[in-house]
Amino acid sequence: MSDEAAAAAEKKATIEKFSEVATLAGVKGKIDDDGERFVAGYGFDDGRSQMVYARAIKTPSGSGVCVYSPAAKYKKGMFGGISKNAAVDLLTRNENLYFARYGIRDLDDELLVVASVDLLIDTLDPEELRSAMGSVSAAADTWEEKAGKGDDF
Amino acid sequence: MKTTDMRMLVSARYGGDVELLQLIRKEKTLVEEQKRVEVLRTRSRLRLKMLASAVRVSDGMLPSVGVSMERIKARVDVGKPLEAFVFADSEINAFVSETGSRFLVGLSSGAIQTLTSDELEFVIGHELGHALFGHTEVAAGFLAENGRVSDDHSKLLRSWQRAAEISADRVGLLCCEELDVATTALVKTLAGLSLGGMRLKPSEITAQWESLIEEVMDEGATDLWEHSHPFPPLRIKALESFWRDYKAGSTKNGDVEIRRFLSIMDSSGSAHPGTSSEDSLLGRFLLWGGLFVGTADGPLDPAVRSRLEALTVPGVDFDELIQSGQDLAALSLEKFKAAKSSRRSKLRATELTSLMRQLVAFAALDDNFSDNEKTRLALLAGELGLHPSAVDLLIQQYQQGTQA
Repeated sequence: MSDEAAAAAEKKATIEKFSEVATLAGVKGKIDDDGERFVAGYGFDDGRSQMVYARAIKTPSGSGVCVYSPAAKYKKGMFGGISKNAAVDLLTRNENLYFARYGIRDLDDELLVVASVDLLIDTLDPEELRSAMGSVSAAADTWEEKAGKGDDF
Repeated sequence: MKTTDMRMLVSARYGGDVELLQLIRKEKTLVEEQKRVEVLRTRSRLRLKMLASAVRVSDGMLPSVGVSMERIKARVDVGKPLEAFVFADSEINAFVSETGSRFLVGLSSGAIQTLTSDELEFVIGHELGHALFGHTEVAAGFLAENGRVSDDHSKLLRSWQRAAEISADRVGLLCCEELDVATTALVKTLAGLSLGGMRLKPSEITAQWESLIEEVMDEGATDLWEHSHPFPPLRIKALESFWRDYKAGSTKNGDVEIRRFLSIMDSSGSAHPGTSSEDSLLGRFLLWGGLFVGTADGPLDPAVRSRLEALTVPGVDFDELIQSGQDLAALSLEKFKAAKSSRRSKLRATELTSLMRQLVAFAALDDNFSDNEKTRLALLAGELGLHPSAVDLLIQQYQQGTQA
């Protein structure tokens, strides 16, 4: 098996383990077709909802997952992007956020603000997973609402 | 072996030893590493070391050992000349090694001084068992320790080493022909006692064996896989199971239960089939949880019963339990809770998944999930701290799996 194939197999195994723990946590979701991400919906009491994803990562302490929830998309370009005020606001919120962080993922022609948290897969338990999904979806939803982006995610 | 021939010896080999060795031989990395080690072995100077610093067994020098050696050599044909040495070590120790054209058998001075000639025959027979079954062809200990193979490969190698010890013990037993002799030799090895000519029966070690299994379960111990030898109480228990079947003329050799005994020392979540400790560590949860779920709709389904009977849970007589007339639901739930509270480490997610999936499968054995079964599954899930909807998801997954 090549290194690349071994790494892909390890990622897949990590996501499968995450999916098993999600089942124990009572989270209904599925692994996407290419086997690289776990996807689930998260509903809030006020009727709003968030999509939550998990993708496999390598950490210095072993295999892990990054659990993330998209909050808002911003078009790139001269008249697009994230304003200075919004960026400062995100950083300030990061300082006060528990068990999640805001960050920006650079897509081809867009910037995606996500709330995320990293977890080690070997020690992950159902309670921790549920709590992580709650934290990132709450943080993402808060920014989505604040940024006036409706409830797209 | 006054009565055993070579064919019998070969057929006494533990099935798990053969299966795991086949797995090792299919692993390309391990085969490559073994080739490398083989080169080092040809340069080994073990015989030189033995000739220089140990005593070669001869009729003149150590007549009693020489006689034992000759007697066993006549029964166990390993295809190459044997040379035995006694080396200075107060502990009871022995080894066999292949050096080119011959096998070297090393016996510690502690073994010679502490063991009777019958017990020594068990030990020598054990070492020749390794040679007979080709165990010396794979340098498993060296490969597992040298850091050039993955953790999963190390786990596989260690699992095989323990299985190989079981096979070798059987040859030792067939050489000395008495279970009590083999038991005494192993107990002496364990404690270093001379025991003043006492003969021990395997039953003497039963209580210790049961406490050992309970301790392993309570700890949720997953680091036992690093041991190259099964714990001596486990070896005695395995010899007892083998001897029972062997004496009864059964070719099963006690292999099914020995596989369960050995799995307690395997690693949790191992990548290789037959080398995972999960079910053994979960034995009590599976037994009491299975009984709780299995009796939800009335008497225990025979299929669930046979599955539960196969679990290794010390101190539980299944027949007695079923016929006791006790309230099995209340008893099993109470025992399930007790298993949870006596467990000193948190149940890992992989253990929880395995446990809940098996409990769901027990409930499905009668082809449907009744409301009673679902309620009981949810109760157990709650005891394990799982979310209430986990059971519904597990049932859905089970049904999707069986449909697929």
